[in-house]
Amino acid sequence: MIHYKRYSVVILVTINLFAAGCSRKEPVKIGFLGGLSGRSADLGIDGLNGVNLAVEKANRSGGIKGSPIELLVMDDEQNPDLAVRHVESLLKSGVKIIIGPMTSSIAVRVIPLSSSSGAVFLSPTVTSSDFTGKDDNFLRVCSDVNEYAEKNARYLYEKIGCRKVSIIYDVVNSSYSERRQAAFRETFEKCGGKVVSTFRFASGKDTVFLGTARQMLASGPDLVLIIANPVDASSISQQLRKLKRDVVISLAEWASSERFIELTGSYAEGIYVSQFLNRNDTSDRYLDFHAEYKQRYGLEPGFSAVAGYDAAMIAITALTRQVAYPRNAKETIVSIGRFQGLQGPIAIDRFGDSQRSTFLSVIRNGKYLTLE
Amino acid sequence: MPPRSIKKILAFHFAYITIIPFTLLFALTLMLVLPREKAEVNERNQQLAVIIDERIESFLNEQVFEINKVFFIELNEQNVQRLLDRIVEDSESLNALYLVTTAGIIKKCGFSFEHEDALHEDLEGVDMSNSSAFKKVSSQRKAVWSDVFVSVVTGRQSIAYAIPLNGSYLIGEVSLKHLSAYLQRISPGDGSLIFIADRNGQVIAAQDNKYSTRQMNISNLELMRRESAPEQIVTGPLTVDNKSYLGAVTTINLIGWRSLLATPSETALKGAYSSTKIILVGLLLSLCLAAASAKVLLKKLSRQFDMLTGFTRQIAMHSDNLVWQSGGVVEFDHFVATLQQMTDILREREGAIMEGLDHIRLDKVRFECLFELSKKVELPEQDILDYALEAAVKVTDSKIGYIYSLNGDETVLTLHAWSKNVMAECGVQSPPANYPVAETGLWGEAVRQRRPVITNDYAAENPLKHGCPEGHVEIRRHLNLPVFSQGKIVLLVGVGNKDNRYDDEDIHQLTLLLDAALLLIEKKRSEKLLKESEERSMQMFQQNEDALVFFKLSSMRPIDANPAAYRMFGVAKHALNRLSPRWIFRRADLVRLFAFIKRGEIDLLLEKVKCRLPDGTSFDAGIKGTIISLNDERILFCSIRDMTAKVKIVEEMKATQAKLIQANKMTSLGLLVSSIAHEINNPNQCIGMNAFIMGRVWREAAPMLLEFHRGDESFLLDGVPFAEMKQTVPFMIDTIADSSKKIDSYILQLMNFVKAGKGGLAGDADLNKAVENAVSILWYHIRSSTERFKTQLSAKKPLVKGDFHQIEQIVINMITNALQSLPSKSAAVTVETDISEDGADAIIRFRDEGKGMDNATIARLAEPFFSTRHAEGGTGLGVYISSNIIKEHQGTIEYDSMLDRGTTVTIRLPLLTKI
Repeated sequence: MIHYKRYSVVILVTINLFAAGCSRKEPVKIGFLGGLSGRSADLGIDGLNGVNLAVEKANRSGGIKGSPIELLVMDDEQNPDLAVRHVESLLKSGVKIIIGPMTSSIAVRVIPLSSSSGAVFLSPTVTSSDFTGKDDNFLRVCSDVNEYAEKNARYLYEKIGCRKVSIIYDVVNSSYSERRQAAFRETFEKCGGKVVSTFRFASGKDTVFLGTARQMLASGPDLVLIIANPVDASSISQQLRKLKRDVVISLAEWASSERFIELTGSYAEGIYVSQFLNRNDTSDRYLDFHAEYKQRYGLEPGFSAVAGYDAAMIAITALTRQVAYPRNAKETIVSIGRFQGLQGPIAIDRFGDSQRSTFLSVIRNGKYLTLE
Repeated sequence: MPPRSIKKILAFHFAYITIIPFTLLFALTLMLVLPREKAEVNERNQQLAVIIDERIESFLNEQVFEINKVFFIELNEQNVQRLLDRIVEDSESLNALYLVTTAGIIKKCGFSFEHEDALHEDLEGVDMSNSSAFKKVSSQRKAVWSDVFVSVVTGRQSIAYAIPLNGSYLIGEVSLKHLSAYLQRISPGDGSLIFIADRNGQVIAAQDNKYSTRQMNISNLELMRRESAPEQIVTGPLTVDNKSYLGAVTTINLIGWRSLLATPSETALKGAYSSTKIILVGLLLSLCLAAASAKVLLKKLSRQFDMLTGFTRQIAMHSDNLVWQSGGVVEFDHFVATLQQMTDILREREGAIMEGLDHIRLDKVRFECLFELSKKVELPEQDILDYALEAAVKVTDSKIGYIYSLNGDETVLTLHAWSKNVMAECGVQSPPANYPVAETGLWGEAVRQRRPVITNDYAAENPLKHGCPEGHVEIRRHLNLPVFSQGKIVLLVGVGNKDNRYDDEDIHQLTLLLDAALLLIEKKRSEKLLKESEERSMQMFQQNEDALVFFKLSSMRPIDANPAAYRMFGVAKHALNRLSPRWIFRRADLVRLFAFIKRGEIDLLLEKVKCRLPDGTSFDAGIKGTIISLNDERILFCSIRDMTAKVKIVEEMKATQAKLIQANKMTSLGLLVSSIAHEINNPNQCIGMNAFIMGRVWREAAPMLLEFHRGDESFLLDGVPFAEMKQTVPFMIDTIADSSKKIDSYILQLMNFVKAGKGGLAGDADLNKAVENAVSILWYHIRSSTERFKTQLSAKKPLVKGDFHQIEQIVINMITNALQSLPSKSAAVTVETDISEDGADAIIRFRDEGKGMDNATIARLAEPFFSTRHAEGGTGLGVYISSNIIKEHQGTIEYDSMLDRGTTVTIRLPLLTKI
């Protein structure tokens, strides 16, 4: 009798050895959608880098209740049609939270796809007010574009003394840029300023800006507002500074990446930039992140890296909570409501809109210097 | 685990011996073959990666060559724009060429014709001082490859090669698209992926351009993070688009970039998988063959076991004709033969075991009987013997039994009881209860021979048999034996009619049983005696007049005491602790007690111990003790006797002794006085008589003498003139007569004094007279001791009830003491008699102006033989005897004394008649 037991034990142990090798917990999938190539690639790459650090950190701590997190990365190449296909693919693979998209133009196309699946988009960088106050499956960790625009306009009018502004913006991402320029204009004019000229261009198609720059300066502005991605913003700024070295330039937060400074060289000096990243932050949380990011990628973390990290941490918190209290992702995030971001608390309301601090910085000696 | 059929068990075993090797081989394949295959694949990948690196370096060198073309042409302000455009246009991989000032400002820019010409003007003057290519070339001032370079023309990521050129810098922008296409060309084509990453790990190109941005940064790969030396070739698994690859990361020496060759795991491990599949198929075939073989074997074995089961069933059914049909298996035939032999042996042993079991049963019965007997201790002796008889019948497997007791000289057997069976079957009318041993038949032999007698064939002729009376139970077998107590037969026990023969075992069991019964009875008797003895001891303990206390020797704490102890020490029963030696003995006596214990003596005797009472007083006691053991504890058992009464008796004895001494002395003195009186009386009477005669003679002779001398009275008689002698001689003769009378009177008083106790306490005594007598007796002492002796006698006659002579003795004692205390003759002594104010007592008071006494002396005056004048011959009995006499006369004596001032002794005695 004892012998049978012994043999049974041997067999069971053997089977268990194999079973152990096969019994890893199913990973929890999180999607990422962003432009990882093209003129806005730095936004997506930085964001993805931030997301990656957050996911790795969570996996080091045991994942979500023991299940590892698997990040499914999709490059929309700033192409809405491609983004739609990617989103469909992600939803098919059972993803409940997609971090992204990174730009409003993509957001407009992909948000409707999520309504039937219950999955949510958690965007690090989309600020367009087109999505503000809507009960959809789109959530974000950055403030509404109006906040940036208002702060931007008020500062330039009140602190710098600008009264006449010439605006140029990219119509390819019109969902964002139109809102951004309109909000700026409204506040600037409300303060007493005047918009002396407005120019539009299509990123990728329009690559020569010298003529446009001449026209802008011809309208006699004491301020030029550029609402464009970092590459185009750099080109426009270079042409403007070539023509008039001391022209006051302000960039929308879209362009506030490290690439802009790299591309613009010394012409970047003195340009005012809106952004939700406080580059002078000395909190331990941010400094730790900063050190890890730099050690990993050899670069300074940009605003989208911080936003990507924050979005990923919110997603992971929500998915962890879902294990104990099963409900859809949006309800979970909204029910939690308040999250700790790298640079302060992030409050997400029932529409998925976020409240977080916005900053205004100026470029000095090749670096962003936060003004307020 | 429930039992299983042999078929199942064999099936399991066959499964084990086929599955386990299969499983082990499978595991070994997974653990040994696959890792080795993987290692080989890794090695192959590494080699491939190195080759690819070389190819990439070759590609880059081609680009360098393209850019370096500018060194072969002469550039000037007019042709520079055209020449730069031409070089780019001619090159497949160059995107643009930037001629940059040392400040980083673009002087000229050449690009392909697909861009607008206006772009030339746009780019001129653009600041690219922050670009990685410019920074590196301006700082190092030599040809360098940049990391990721953002194209000024397109804004796209690319790579650039920068060279110093005649006070300017030339930056050649190489299309990543072309690099990717090149990678595609050199790719092994088996699904492998090639990535190129810059020094920060950022992927800048992939062989199909698909992953160039999506994979973004190879620093994120786990295989890169786990290696500590990134410059080495790093290999390991990685996942791209949910697909597993084996990767090899190498550093391209020319520019410090990294290349990653990722080979799909399926492809890489194809060989290993194939080997594993072949092994598995082989194993499965073996498994099937083994299973089939096992099934055939199982069937054969199962049939053999079924036959064997049938055979064993025959054995189990005790079949005498065991049949085995050989199945052609030698081992089974041998096994059956052995089984048959074993069955024969077992059947033999079965008989023996059954017999043994019978013995065991009997032993069990015997044990139970002995055990039951041991529990009968509470029953009367009669019942114990009754039980023993029934047990005797049972333990010997007999049918009948009896017990007779023997008288002291073992001559008469008295029936105690027959067993119940006998009582039921016996038909003897009025059987006698007593049998003289000498008249008994065979059954009395056991007594006569003083040993057990077995008669297994009682019916056989035997001269010793006297025959049974009519109606007696038939006896077939018989065993009886004597039971001894202290060498004497006290019982005769017999059993009979056992089915089998009686043997020594029966004798043994019977002896054990009856001995046990007898022992029980004797124990019972002993216990009864012990109990009675205990009760007596308890009574003695309780009723003993001496205090009996048990002390624990280790702590000297009392653990028990008798009522006398509580009474003696005035302690309540619950306050046993108050009987502790520390409470009841003085320190000195405690020391004596502990010294005794320390010496380790068993018996203790302490006399004159002062025992303390709770009220602070104490009494004399004597302690006797002994050390006993009680429950392994050493106990001191003490008997404490109150010696107060004894002391009193001793004192009384001393007093009596003193009185006897005194009486003896007085008797002697009386005799002496009588003798002296007698001796004095005779001459004295002679003197008196003669004096009387001489008087009458003188009275008659004097006139004759005068007449003879004619009336002349001057003649001399003895020299004295007759005239004087005429007066003197009658006086002398009268004096002689008076003296003789006085002597007579003294003698009479002496005689009266020595006649003590004649009146007894019933008599009466006049104190005044006693004083006068005493003074008369002591007159000489008084005169020699003091010149100031005075008596003041009461006018009223102080007549008291008692012995006059004893009272007189008191007075003599007191006056003597007073006289002896005087320091000189000038000191006075006064004796007064008086009547108390209430008229009830007569008082006699002795005052002296002597030395006086202190209180300590006064306190001891009543002690016998106490004297301050032992040196002067004092006996110490005077005051003691006087005190006793006064006590006997129900009187009192008081002392009032001051040192050097004198003493007043006042004695009160009840008056005979109250005045």
